[in-house]
Amino acid sequence: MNMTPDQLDSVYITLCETADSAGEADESEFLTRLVLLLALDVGDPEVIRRRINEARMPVAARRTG
Amino acid sequence: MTAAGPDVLIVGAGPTGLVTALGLAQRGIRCEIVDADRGIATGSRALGISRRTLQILDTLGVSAACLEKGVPWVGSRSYYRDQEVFYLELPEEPDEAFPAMLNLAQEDVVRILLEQIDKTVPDLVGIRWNTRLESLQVTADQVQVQLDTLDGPTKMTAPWLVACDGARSTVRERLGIRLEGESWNTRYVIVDVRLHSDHPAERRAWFDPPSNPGSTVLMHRQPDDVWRLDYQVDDEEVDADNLVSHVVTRVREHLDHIGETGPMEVVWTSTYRARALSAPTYRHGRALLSGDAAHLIPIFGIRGLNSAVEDANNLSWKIAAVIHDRASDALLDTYSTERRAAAHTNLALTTRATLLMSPPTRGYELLRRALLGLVAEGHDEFCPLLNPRQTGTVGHPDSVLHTPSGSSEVGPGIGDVYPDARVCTAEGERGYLSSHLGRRTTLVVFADVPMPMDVPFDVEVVTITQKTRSHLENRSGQVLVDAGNTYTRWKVQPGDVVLVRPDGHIAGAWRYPDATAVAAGIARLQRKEAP
Ligand SMILES: Cc1cc2nc3c(=O)[nH]c(=O)nc-3n(C[C@H](O)[C@H](O)[C@H](O)COP(=O)(O)OP(=O)(O)OC[C@H]3O[C@@H](n4cnc5c(N)ncnc54)[C@H](O)[C@@H]3O)c2cc1C
Repeated sequence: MNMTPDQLDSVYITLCETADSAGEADESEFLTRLVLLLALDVGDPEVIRRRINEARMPVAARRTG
Repeated sequence: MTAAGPDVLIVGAGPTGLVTALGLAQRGIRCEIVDADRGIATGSRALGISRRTLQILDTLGVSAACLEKGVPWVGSRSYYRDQEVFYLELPEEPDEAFPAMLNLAQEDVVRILLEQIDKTVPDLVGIRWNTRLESLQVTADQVQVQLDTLDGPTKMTAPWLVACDGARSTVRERLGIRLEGESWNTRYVIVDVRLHSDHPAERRAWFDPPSNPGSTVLMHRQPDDVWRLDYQVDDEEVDADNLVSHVVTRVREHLDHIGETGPMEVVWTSTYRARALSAPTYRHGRALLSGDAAHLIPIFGIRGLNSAVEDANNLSWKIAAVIHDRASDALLDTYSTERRAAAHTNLALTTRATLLMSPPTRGYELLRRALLGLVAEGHDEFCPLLNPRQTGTVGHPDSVLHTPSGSSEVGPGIGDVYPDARVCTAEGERGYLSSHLGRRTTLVVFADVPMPMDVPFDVEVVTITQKTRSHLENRSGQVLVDAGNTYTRWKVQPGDVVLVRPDGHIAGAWRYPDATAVAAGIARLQRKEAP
């Protein structure tokens, strides 16, 4: 991860905007497709598994209902 | 007031108008300020004064008064729900004369500026309160205005007019200039409370705090045990009538929650909606727009008053040069292009801060929740996204006034503000470069050996040497000795020459230049043909 703060910022904004334009109904599918595509770029199943683990919501933060 | 009538009529006695007046008067220009109000406006407005603003206020002789009253701060702390997730501390900078940020209420800044006008240039600057501009006509050689005063309507003319009449500028409206950009619906209540607390001066931001779930709270220390809270309110939540009382209750809860259980007293409240707008041009012939009259910058980036002061600092030397016939009036077009480009950058930065404060859509909301959650779990890689980026001034990299550096990368960036540094005067007095630059057009000559630069230019010359000044005894202009990292900070070596504008921005830089190259650079800066 060697993005400059500006690059990180621009990725963040692009994600916000694209999630918006996907629309509520297709938002999860868009994000899941993105993850699958990025997984191809990462190419290392160990790394992907570690990130999946990190991305799982901690129990306390889970939204109910 | 002057019998001959002013050279410049300034509409509005807010920070923009007063800084413009002082900058003009310092250059011998007579101004008349009119303001619709009875006197200084009070209430919670600008608070964060940047280092760049302090440098500019220093050239007007009021930095000491501001530093004496204000509260400097270096830290910025962010919380998500119950947890602190990010702390940013600006590094100590011994090479800088001024702190990165100073909290000082806008009304104090205005009062200090007014006192300075009274003390130093009362014969050059007139101020008329209770005087509202109603309409104006801009012709080829003057501006005529219709004013409404306590004694009824009256007229005034002046060769130039600067509109510093704020967000709802009458001048802008009468000239038919429309603001362009974005506005957001989220409401904020700004609350100033008196509260005794030992918490240090720093910026604190709570995202989704227990006291205001789903929203954001900002908190800042002001002088005299006053604290500023910016409180985001969900639109559906409360109607306008009950907004303030609702928020005051929540503020109490918030203070209790962060352990501030002492008595608090509300001293001021107002409501605010963020807007990011700019006029398409800041010049309309002999009328110029400045400060909030020209652009509205969301408050969360702390760049409204600060950029207004930079506008005034950009404009005053240019109007003075045109009035003194030292530059063509095309110089004033560059005020518009330079400051509009700067507003564009300031708007982009503050818009980012605003989007983080109050995500406007589901996508932004989703990403912010993910971001804050990850940072709270220790993913510091994402911390840069929480940096409020309030410091840092905006340069004018593309200005036509500047001589491009070409392939040789000499000196600080063309268009940037000069870097401050520690120096010694000939008398051995220690100080900072900022006491010498940013006032007049100045050639800064970096020399350990005398250079063949004695061609007479109509500019100041400051020579900065790394050795002692003895071998430079016969040089014209001022000689300063580097007492810190001047050469490193300026990215120069002996033999370099840098042209600094009266507003502190770099207009050109050369290595061992011949006099013609420098003369061409100076002519370009004054929008004149090279001799
Ligand atoms: C809650 C809040 C917090 C803020 N915090 C910050 C901050 O921390 N840092 C920062 O840099 N900025 C901040 N700002 C922005 C800052 O307050 C403005 O950018 C600043 O006031 C602009 O100054 P000005 O002189 O251009 O306009 P103003 O201060 O609005 O002054 C305009 C003057 O013109 C007069 N006037 C208006 N119409 C007429 C007329 N027709 N005839 C004659 N006179 C007229 C008015 O009476 C007034 O005195 C904040 C703003 C708000 C609202």
